[in-house]
Amino acid sequence: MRGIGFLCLLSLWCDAAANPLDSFGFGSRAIALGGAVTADTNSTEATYYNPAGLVHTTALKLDLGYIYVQPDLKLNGHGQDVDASRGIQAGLSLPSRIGQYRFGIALSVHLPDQHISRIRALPERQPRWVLWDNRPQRIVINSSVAIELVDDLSFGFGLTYLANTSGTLKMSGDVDFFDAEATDLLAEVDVNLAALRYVTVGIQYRPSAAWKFGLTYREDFKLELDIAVDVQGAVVIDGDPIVDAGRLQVRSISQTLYSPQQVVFGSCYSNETWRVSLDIGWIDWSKFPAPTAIVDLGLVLEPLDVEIPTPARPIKPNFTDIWVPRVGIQRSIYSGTDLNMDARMGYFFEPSPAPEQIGKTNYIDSDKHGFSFGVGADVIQTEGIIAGPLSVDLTFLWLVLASRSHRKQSPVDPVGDYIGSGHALGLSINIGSSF
Amino acid sequence: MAARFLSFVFCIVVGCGTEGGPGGGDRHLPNAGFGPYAWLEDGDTPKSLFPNQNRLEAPFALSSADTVDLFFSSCPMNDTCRIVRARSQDGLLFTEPQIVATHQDGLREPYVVRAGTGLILWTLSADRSKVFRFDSSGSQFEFSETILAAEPDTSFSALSVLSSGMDTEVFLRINSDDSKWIRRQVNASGPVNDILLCGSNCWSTTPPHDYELKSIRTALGRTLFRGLGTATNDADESTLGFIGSDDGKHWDPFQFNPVLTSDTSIESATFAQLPGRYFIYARTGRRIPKIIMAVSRRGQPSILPSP
Repeated sequence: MRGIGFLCLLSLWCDAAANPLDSFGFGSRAIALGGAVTADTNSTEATYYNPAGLVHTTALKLDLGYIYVQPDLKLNGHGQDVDASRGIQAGLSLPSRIGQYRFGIALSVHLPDQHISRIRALPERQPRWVLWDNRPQRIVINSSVAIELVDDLSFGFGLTYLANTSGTLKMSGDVDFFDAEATDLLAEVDVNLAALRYVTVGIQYRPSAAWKFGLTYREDFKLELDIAVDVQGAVVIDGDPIVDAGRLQVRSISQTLYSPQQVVFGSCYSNETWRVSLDIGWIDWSKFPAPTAIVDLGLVLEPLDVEIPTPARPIKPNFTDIWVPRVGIQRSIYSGTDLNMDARMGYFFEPSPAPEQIGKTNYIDSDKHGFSFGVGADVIQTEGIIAGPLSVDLTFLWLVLASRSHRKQSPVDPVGDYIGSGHALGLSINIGSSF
Repeated sequence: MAARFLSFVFCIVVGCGTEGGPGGGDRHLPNAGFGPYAWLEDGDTPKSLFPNQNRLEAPFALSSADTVDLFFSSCPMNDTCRIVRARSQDGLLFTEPQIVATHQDGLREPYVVRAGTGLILWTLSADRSKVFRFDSSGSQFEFSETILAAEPDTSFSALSVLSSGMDTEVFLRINSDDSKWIRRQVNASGPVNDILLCGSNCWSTTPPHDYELKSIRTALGRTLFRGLGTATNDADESTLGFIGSDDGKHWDPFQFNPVLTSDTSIESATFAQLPGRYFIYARTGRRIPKIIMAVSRRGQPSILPSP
């Protein structure tokens, strides 16, 4: 277990967020089912979709997978070169019992292999695909635990740790207006990485072998980059002080990542051949804060009468809450003594929370249709290679962003009218082994 | 065992990872062509596009999807002024100017608009007292009619013609003791209206002496109006700025004016675009005049050529 401890320790250090999972999902099987697995998930993917499903884990299971999503997002028909999101998706789930109660624990990680974490604060005027900027480029580390409360009813709880960054640069000394070499400032840097965590909780209810229901709540969180600069000292000209105790204070707070709170209800019906699941999720995008810097300035140069203009506050983005329906269908296509194979397909519709960009801001987003297709195979007899069954899942993902026009109110808008459109293609593979 | 393996994979990937980096959609962003612009220079001075021509005045740019046509008035020493045209595939290298329109009164300040498959040329007479209309005939233009005549002791300059729906309006500066800007319907019975192109929120402290107004089509297909103004101070330093309107009557300055400055006086600035690139052409130099240009290369256009 020392390795797990090592992972937990690292999770305190890294900027992390569940957002790549919000965008594309977690685990090849779940992605193939359109993400409609809230009612029926029982391995490491449960750490994201519904930790309550971990009580149905039957053996120690190791999952190792990879996801690659290449977007092709355009403005006025011109590609924006939006980064691909790719990385390892892996996890470990472990079942156990306390007395008569089953419980399960799991640890999962989404580990991007091109950006450990990206923080970029752009002016609100600059057009950008706002939900494809920093959002998919994050490490995600989830730890979850679940317990069976009564027969067929389980409860799960998960935590994700994040690091929030704040820093202060203090400078003191003499500033010479006309002679840079005569300026003598002593600098002191203080950077603080404060831990931040958010919660996922869920319940699952299985009234019969055929029917399953689930409910998941994910807490919202916001990552900010907080930078303060404090310059104190005398202002001199040719050695003569004209200000004895001048002070310049600058503070910039940038929201670098925001994930809204979410509630997802799922249901699932299954028999020996078919499995059909439906999810409906509510995502609270209306609290989305402006993803640009809030800057405060303070300048004291007495006895000089100097004022600096107050920087304008970012404009409220006015995002709206959305409902996201998901459906997944699975059919058994082969069932033998040593091999089971399933075919899967899924669909989801995610309306854009962003309004038409008619003014100064250019937070571009469009309604998203997600189509997925996949196959899964369970090799039951693995004689001597590994102790338990080996599962292999392969999924293709196709995201279509509907064409959307943004008509500017002002005829002198510096960006002008534009049309956003695009799609993304993805591939996810997962290999799981039970011990 | 499994946890050790995960730790190993984690460390390998973290070791290979990068912080930040380029990308993320910051390339090929829309650019409405407002600038900033930079002069195309030869050494430290703006490059002359027509080094063998020093009689070219009042450039007017007409762009299509793959060409830029520059129309000028050309005034030879011993002849009347006429309209000439040069063409470019890239907006930088032009053919030698060819005569396309003449008139016994002489012609100045061309302004050209597309009309169906042909072109309409609007010009001032050489003494700036009349506005003429010419219709295209092959590569040449033939005189059609006199649209407007100036009052005594006044003259015209800065001719522009904008169409909105069925209406076509001429925009002019009336030069007199009390100079002003007007717009007037091409229909002779239409009223003459004063127009404020640079009011209390003017982009320049020096009143602009020249404006070129054009209709443009946005990426959504709607028509807007845009103007490029030139203001020159007492030290012969010029600044250029854009204004815009959605009805041709009320104009607002662009927020980030000026888009271009010059330490020599600029006259008759005109703007055009090819896909992904925006250009400004102008005339400068009093003793040895030359045609110069500026380029904005940032981003991709959100404005398409007007049909």
